[in-house]
Amino acid sequence: MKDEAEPVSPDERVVRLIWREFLRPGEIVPIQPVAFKPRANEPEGISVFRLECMKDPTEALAVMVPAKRGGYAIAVLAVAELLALGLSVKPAKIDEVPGHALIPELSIAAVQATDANWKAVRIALAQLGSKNLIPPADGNS
Amino acid sequence: MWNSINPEILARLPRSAVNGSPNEVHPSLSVPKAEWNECFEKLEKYRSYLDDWDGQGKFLGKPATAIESEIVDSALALAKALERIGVSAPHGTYPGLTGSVSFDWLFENGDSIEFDFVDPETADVFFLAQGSDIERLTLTEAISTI
Repeated sequence: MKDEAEPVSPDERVVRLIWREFLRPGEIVPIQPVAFKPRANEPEGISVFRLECMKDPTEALAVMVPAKRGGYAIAVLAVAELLALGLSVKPAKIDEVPGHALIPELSIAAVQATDANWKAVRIALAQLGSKNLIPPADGNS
Repeated sequence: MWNSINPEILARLPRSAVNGSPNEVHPSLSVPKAEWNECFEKLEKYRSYLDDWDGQGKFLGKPATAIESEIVDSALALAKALERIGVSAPHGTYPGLTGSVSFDWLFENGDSIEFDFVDPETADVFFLAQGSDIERLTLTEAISTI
């Protein structure tokens, strides 16, 4: 496994946790773009987890309260594809799960200032994440 | 609430024919077909969404924002107004991480229309067409026209 203190390299993959209500089961692109929208309390960007720093993608679910973990799908995205969209991935260590990182371009301030511009990026992320998606353990509804 | 709707927006929404199929103006609504009741039921459910409804607050420190009943009231009122005038039911209805609620229509060619209720009197309407810039119009009660 990779040390989470190391910089993120283009050949890595990251995990984004997708709440089940942001999925459209059966659609070609099941992830809704809103799954990549920052929250009001995300001034530093949205969270992802570096796959190469974890034993497996499901390890990221440990950041959720246990009762909600089964409601999350897991999307795996290639860092190189994020870079191609003009995004970056910065390590941001937390205690609960190794490999936590942020996409600083998708901060709440940036999105509130020019949301229409970022919507296209979220659509692209939804398409990329939908290519490698582990469905929620508890189902989609 | 929402007694009048901006006609520029209204003209671009998909309509249902008597038999429930899309009309000729918007012949390419994506499948599966949705029902308005599903939208209404989801909106009602969001009234119970308190802070951290998605469970990311305790460890990650990023709880989703509670959804205020006033926003649900607003979205419901507009949804029911759209149903009354024959607009097709949206494909998706979903809660927003910042306390908003949204619904959207999807077309087979990849285009979509999204209503995002950011406060009780304002909905941002996004028109996403393949190969074009995203168009955003704001729908407010105060400035809507008949």
